[in-house]
Amino acid sequence: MQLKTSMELQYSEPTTLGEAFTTLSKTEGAKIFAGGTDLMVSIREGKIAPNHLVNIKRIPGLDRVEVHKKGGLSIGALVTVGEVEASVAIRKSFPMLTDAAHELGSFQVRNRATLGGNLCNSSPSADLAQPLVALGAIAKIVGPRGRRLVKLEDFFTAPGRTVLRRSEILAGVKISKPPRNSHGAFLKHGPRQCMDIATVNAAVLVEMNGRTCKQCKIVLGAVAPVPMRAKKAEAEIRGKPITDEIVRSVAEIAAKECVPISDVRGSAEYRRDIVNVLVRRLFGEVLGIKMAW
Amino acid sequence: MTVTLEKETCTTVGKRVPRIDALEKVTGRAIYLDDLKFSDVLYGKILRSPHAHAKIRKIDTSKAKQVPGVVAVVTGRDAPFRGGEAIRDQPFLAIDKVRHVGEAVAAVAAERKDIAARAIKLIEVEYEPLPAVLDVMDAIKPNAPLIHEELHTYPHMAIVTVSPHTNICAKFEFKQGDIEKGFRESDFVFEDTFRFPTGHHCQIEPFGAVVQVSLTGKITIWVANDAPHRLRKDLSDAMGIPFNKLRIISPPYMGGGFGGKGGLKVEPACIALAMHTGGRPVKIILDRQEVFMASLTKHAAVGIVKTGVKKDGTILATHAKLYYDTGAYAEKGPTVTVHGCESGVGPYKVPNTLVEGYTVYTNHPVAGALRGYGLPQSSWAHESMIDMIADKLGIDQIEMRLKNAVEEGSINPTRGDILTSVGMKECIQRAADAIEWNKPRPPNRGVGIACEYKATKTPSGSSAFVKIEQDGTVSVITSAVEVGQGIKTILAQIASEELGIPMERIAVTSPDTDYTPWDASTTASRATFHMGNAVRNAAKDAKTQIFALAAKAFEVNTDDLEISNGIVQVKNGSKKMGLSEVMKGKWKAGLTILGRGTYYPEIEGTMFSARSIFYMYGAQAVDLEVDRHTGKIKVHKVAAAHDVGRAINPTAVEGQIEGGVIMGLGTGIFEEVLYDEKGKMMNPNFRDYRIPTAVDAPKIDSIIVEAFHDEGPFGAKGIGEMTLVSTPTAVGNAIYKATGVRLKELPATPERLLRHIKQKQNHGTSE
Amino acid sequence: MVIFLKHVKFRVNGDEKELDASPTRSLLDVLREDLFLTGTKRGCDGGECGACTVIMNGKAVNSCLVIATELDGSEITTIEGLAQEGKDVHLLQQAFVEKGAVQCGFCTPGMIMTAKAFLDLNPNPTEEEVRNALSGNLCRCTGYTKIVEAVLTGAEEIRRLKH
Repeated sequence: MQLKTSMELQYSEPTTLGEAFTTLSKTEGAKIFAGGTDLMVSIREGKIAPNHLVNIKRIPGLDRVEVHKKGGLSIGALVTVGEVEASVAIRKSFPMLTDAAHELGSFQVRNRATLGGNLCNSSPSADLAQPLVALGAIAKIVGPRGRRLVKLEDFFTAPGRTVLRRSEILAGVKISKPPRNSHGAFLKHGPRQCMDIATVNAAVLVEMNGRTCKQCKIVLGAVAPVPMRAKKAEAEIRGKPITDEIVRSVAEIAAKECVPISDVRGSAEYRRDIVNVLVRRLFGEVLGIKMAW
Repeated sequence: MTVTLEKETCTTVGKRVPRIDALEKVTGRAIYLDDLKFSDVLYGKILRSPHAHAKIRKIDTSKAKQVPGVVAVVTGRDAPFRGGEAIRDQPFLAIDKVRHVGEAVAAVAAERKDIAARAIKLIEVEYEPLPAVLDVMDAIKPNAPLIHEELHTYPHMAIVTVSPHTNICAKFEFKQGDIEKGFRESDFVFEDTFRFPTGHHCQIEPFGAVVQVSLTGKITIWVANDAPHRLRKDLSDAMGIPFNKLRIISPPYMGGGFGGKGGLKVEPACIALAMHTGGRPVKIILDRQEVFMASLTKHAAVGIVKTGVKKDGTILATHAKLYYDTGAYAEKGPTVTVHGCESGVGPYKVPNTLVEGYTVYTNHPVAGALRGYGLPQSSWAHESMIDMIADKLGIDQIEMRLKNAVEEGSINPTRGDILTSVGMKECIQRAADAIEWNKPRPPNRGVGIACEYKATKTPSGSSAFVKIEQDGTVSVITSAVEVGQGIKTILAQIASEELGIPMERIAVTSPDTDYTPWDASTTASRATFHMGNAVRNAAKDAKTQIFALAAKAFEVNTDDLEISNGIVQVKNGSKKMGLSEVMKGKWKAGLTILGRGTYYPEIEGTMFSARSIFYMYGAQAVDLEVDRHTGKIKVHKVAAAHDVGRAINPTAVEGQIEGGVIMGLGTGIFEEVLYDEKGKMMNPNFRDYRIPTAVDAPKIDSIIVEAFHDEGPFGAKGIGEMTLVSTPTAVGNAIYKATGVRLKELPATPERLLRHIKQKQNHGTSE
Repeated sequence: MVIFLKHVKFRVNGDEKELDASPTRSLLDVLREDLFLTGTKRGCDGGECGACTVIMNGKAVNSCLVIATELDGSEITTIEGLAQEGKDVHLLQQAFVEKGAVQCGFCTPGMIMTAKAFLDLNPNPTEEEVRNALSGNLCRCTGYTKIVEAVLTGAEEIRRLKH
């Protein structure tokens, strides 16, 4: 097996955030190492060549799921995808996040991959990104100059890039309890039953008022450079009663609104078709009914 | 169905004996190539071509040679040999040109893997790109760029007819009856073109080799190769050195072969290096990307089938033209083409046939032996066609097949020989029953069936020894390779049955060409039959020698003796003696009994031109459901019925069926190799070349049919390759029933299927 | 050239190990090449095939993606360390043998380690749950049927032993 790393690769295991900031500031070419399930593959395939790995797994306080008094919760960046999947608290309040975690990778990958890693890797198809953006999650960023909060929706800037500055670390996300009568769902599409990087994935959060959609967020993955809100599609249904016809229209608008590319996993045209299907099915899931075609 | 042989009652054969290698494997103690440790070893790394077709103008290795820790750097000129069983067209390392992306151009041996990896990057190669040919039908056009200008100078097998100054490296023809007459007499004639994709073996164990060249010039190769003696011969032919200067040692186990780990793969580059390291062994293990890009692939193919039928569904004439894309070098392409053509009409009583096969070079990576050996491709054409005809005539697909299927005594529609041990109809019927063929299915759900027959490699030979030690335990000495199919267990069962000695006292060796006698190969589903017979004969020979001793000791005739449970006894039970006692009776200070056995079928003709000593039959039915909106397929169940002659070990046969079915589903639904416009593979990894996982695997009904073969060991024939041949076509036929979409190409990925579904909705046809 | 090495101490199959680890090497490299435990296999070095699965601190992980320098204080179990105390084999290994779930055997160690870690969390799984847990262990030989049977049988035997 050929290692594409230089034999001079350096490594550190900071035990405080301060130590981590110092190393990251000093060393251009340093990369944060958490679960390694994306990082190691990228290094081995020659996509990146860091000169220093900063293993942040020994920094305390970043690996917890905390329930807030008002019903929301915080998830630390070092919480593994497997822990997200298994968390009773998350399943109780945000089952679509549980579903997304379940669909990510394999049993082994979920035992190592972290929430923070999945988000900071900033792949347009990152499975945890879509539901978290739909839930209005806030990214908690820490750095040598202090803490800042960024809407997760604004966190991703391009494939592989986020708003994080060189010495900053994503500490976690916080999600507020959504309004009453909110329902969410997540769906992922790939050729196999599992193990695939999504051709398209999507999440929907709908706040209902009787049969009317009061508010809704539709987040699409793998059809734009970053996870995208299908805002035109959302506008189409906001304030209206949910009917087959309206959902069909919303799905069509979402399919037109997204900007997929053609790549090894699918053509742009196919991705648009799938967006159409997933959006319809997501509304069906949210309402607990099968949508007619 | 007719049975020509009484089923012999057996104590071991036919029983679900646990595999003799299973315990080692489940405890992590089984040894594969990369587990072997060598003193003073060097690590090799190969530099590969970035171009699909290019002249090599210059190679400068000087910088690489200067890297500390580098011991040898070689290019094609350092080992100017060409190898290849069918056509000797493949240089050990590219010499004057490269013919596919990933072709080996140079290699480095160094003290550490990372040093070798760094050094190959310092080798400078100047290429002059040439136009590349990336489609088999383009390659046969008159003005196509020539991939092998010197084709006419290459030595080749007798059955191969090269077409000089073209890209057609072999062509074959099978003819019976009068094809034109057949079409004239038909009520309907149908013709269509089908495309079959390339694919990968995806053995979980990557390829590798360790080579050491001693100071006397003897080359020792440790390699998991499915035909050690054939490899020895290929290298002897390529390098012009005698057999006894070449030693191939198999590690005890191979992590999957499926035909890929045969012929010359990593061995040539490794030999080239080892010739320049002063006797130090060189080890190369390919990484997974290299395995995808530069080991071996499956032949993509185009099949044009024209079939004439009577309105009652009787097939009168079939004309098939099959074009196999063999990639940059012939490898097994010609013989893959032969087998594909031989089964090119299907297992049907067709009186007038013409099958034309072409093995064609392109600038794709090398295609070669992959389980099924040309049949998945030809089957895709004729078995899709049968369904299309049945549909047009309003006849049920099962009925159409049963009506035309060969039976005991039928004439082979391509070779013209008389078929015996034919379990075809039983396979079709039982698969249909198991899938509940006539049960109505809801919309978007359908069942499809496909069937086939396959020859083995004939005539080819196997020899074995059965060694009885002084203590009465037994070693079966064989060059059959345990690729995972369970051959070691099968041979132990056969030896145990023939000798009357319990399995626990029988061990089976691994191949080492210095010691284990000739075996043609562990391929073509031939091992149980050929090596099984050789082992049985060797056991008989050993028994004869034992009986000679015991007859004297008991003062009876040898005919009165038997061995049961390891005890030699007179048949009426009056006298008994343990095996070791019998031997010590004569040789107190110890000696070994060596039974020798050989099996080489007496058939006229040469390998691939003769009729087959046995044919395997199989039918598979697939029940699947299509999501019309995404094109995604869910397979509910597969019923696979296979005629194996006799199941020596039913659990092992089921294992082969289940594994083959899943591989076949992969070919039919998930697995697609994507090339860019310059011939570079875009998905050389498990992420984007998707093989089925445990979740994708449906329920499988494995049905064992036994049409005894009177020359097979205890009636057995073979199984390995048949089990993935019909699956992709059964999938295609089921998709038609479920959606009305008739696919002419594979795989049925969601995107491809959805496109066809939409086309059909919009235009009424999915073409 | 400044080569970074970190001295790490960890346990493998109950035995104390220590070495000077490089971040360029994976746990898989360490197991196979430094500790000569070759039961854990290298199939893809990319976390896709699962042949390198071991149990690390109680969880099934792809050892090809764990780097050597992070091993300090870890507890690793490999296929060689799975047998129950005083016995040759674990009930799971026995089930694989009996059900004919082993062909070429290359995926087998990883498959068994994943199954073991999974059954530790979910001792009474459905067939669907077993298949899902094994989705990261690719097998090309068996078609998974007998492997799933073996895991379900092994699970039953383990439950029976505990009662």
